[in-house]
Amino acid sequence: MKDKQLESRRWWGMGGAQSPAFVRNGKACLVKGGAAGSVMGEIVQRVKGVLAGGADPKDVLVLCADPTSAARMQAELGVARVEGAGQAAGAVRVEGADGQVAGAARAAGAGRVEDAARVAGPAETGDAPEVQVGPDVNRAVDAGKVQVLTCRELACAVLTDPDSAAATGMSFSSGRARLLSAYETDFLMEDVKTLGARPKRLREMLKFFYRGWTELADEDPEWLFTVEEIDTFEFLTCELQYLGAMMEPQVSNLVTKALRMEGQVRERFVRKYVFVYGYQSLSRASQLFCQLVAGEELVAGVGPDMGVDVFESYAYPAGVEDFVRLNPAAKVVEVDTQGVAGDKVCDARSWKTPADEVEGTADAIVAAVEAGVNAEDIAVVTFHPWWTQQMARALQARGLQANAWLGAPKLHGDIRELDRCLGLRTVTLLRLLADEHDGMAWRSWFGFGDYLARSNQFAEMRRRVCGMHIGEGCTVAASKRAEVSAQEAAGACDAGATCGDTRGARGEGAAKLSAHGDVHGDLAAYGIDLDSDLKPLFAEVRELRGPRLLAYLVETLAGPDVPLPASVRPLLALGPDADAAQMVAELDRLQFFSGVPARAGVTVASYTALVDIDFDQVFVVGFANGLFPRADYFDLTKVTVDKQAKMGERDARAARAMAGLGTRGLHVGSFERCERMLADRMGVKQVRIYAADDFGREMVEAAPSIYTDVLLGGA
Amino acid sequence: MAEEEKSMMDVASVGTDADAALSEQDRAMLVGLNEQRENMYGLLSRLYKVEMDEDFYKGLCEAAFPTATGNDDVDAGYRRIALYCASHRDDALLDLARDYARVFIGHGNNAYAAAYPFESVYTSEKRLLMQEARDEIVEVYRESGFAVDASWEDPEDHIALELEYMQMMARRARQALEAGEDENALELLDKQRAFLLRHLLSWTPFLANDMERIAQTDLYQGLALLTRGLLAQDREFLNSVVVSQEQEQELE
Repeated sequence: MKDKQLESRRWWGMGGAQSPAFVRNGKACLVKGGAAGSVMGEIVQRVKGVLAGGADPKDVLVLCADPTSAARMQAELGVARVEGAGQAAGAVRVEGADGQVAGAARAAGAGRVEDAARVAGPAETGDAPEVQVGPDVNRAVDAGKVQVLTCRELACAVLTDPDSAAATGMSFSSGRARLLSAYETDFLMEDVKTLGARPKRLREMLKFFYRGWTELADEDPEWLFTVEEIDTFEFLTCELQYLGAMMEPQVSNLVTKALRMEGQVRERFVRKYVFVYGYQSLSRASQLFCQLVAGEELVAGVGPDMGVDVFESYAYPAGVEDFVRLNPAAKVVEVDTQGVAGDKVCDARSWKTPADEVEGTADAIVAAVEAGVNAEDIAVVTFHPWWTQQMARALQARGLQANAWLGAPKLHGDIRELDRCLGLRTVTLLRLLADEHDGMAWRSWFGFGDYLARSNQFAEMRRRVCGMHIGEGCTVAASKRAEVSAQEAAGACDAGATCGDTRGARGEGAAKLSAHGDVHGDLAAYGIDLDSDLKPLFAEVRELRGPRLLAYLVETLAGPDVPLPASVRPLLALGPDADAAQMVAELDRLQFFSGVPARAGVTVASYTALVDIDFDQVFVVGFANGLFPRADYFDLTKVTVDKQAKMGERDARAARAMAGLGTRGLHVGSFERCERMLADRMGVKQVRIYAADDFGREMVEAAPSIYTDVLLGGA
Repeated sequence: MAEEEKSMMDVASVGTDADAALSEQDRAMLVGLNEQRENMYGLLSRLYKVEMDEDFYKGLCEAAFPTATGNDDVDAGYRRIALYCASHRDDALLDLARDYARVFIGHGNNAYAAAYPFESVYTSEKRLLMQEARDEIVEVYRESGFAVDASWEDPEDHIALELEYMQMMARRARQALEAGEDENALELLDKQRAFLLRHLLSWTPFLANDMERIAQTDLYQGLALLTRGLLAQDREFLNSVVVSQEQEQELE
């Protein structure tokens, strides 16, 4: 589609950045609603309507802001298939990215997700169908069915396209998009520190860069001012290209670049009918991405107060206004929530202790289920894993199934101490086994166990082998232009002058490194032999699979009788035949693409996982200061007044989003006191400490969250 | 203890309610018990307020301590104090002054280096002085008609002042009983009970634990035990005398 529908326009980036973007001339609709549930319902109805009108399911794409809402949407659309039975052209077959069929029968008037599980039953699926958004996005994108994906998944699929790689300069050796894990970011940061920036300044700059990526500010050549900023940004982008990996905020940035470049990329990925749920929770670049993949019709579902960072960094709620600007012909539909909101019951209750609250809330949920509410239409919102675990236990003790989700598993460890990063080293070995050209994995393997992650050696290797010390681009260019010394040029830049035409120098450095793109080979050329240990090991484990492979790797790294590290234990669920590539794919899925699965039972999860999802009855537990907002908010020895104000704004936004939870009821609970040890563990703001007995057993008084009224005002 | 040693002044008059509800026998018993309480709180307050001086130490060593009060902590506390007095050290005052400084003043900037004798330290998350507890204490003193002497330079939630408050309230209760104002006396005892539960007992167990950890003399080790035991005993006494309906609920 060479865009008759799109015409060149300026995209407003940070600091007045002006870069080419688009105005869509196709049909567009903005579905606004206060309660998220009605927005999702409206989107589902519209998808059904498009299909009933004869649209080919493969032309329909549903994008969600996060995996939890994607799973919920899949389940909702699974219902639509049954309701639309008999309409030959309107059959919706919903498929997760891993190809699992999510749809299942639902009796009229019955619950939604639970029936997907219950009615389909073991006979059909072998087990209760777990709707999950998987990592194999290419397959889903190519499937000729309605696709329900998160924006990140689709973006990763786009970025693995060969033409995208040419457009963005970012290529992935494994053929799958490679995102940096938290521990790998630690290695990257050690490399960045070799530039000499002070840690505090570096943190500030990095946050600025991340936000700049999500808002496409980097398309403005003047967006960075000082030499320090330019050098650091140049270093960061070049190093990421060299290592063949992306940071999370970079994904949406790169994908919009790929889709706007000349070539076939956009044509391959554009869909006629695109529906977006949770538009306000997407970053600015992701919002543009949605515009770019939409062909004839784009429908965006938003809740004006729901723009919080739930899955993507730097959610951009103001993009709702930009939507109308980018789609001058857009229709704005306000979902009628009066009927729903009118019936909504909001209440707050204070319990004596957390244990009382857990038991009392579980009793209230049982009462609600007995009164006819489907367990799957009930959610418990928590602010700490302790509450999630306790609520799940209490519900199960009452005979109710709990769909508890503790969040995506994290890869923990200290990269500086070999004994304290066994899990990370095992994961890195798995990555190298799965893809021996994984530059980031080689970098990590090289750096484990050193206090500075061998960043100095890595920088020297890069300089000698690649012939370019990235980070000097601006200084070199400025000195050429002004015919002054590099030192003077740096001074001029720091004084406020922009470096102007430095892109050439930067581009040259990046190109050199990208052309190399072989971290392992470069390390070897520099004289660092990583093969002598690893090659025999790889030869030995090549045929091993599943738990045996993991056990062998751990034994090689740490000796016999060492238990499997927690970081790799989730991989045991893959079974005995999983190879290294499957394990790495699963690790990536768990880290970057997982959310609350749509399973039977009462959903128990953190507020960030549930904030855009609709449930009839929502119980917010442990809503006390320290849990929400976090204790740091109250401690001016830890945060500055400015930071406190920012935290307050963010929390207020999240509180307003939470106020929209529960279409029929929102029940907020807090507790008056708890054991000091538990309070310390959960981070509860301790109003007052007191002795519970003559021997000094410590108890603390807690206070309800300062946002309780905001939640109660959501009715 | 002489009145001029007090850090707190009773600036309110004793109530004049003359409704009698107690038998003469009960009243006489309560008068006696309150006198004992007054002395007990006076003793504790003095021990915490400043280092030992010669006269007080001499008086302490000459006193006869009870041996079977029914409370193990109290018995053990008296025993440790008597043990120290029996050691007849020549440098006892210097030794005790050194231990007082070690226990209650400490050195360094670690909030756990000493048993800081302030309620705010033990009831606030960051172990800071002048927190909410101190504000509450000032309000209680004012409501009860007490003023802290201008010569007192530490925060008002110092344990010596809180114990002195209890001493003065016990005296008021005794005086009310002697004047036949039973209802007023019970009200005063009720206030003491509330203060004991809300304030003294909410943090002195922590203080006593720290004192036991830090003190190196039997006297201050004994003081820690004595404080824990006597306050627990007083709670039992006050619970048995004044348990209003509201307080019964609180106890549950």
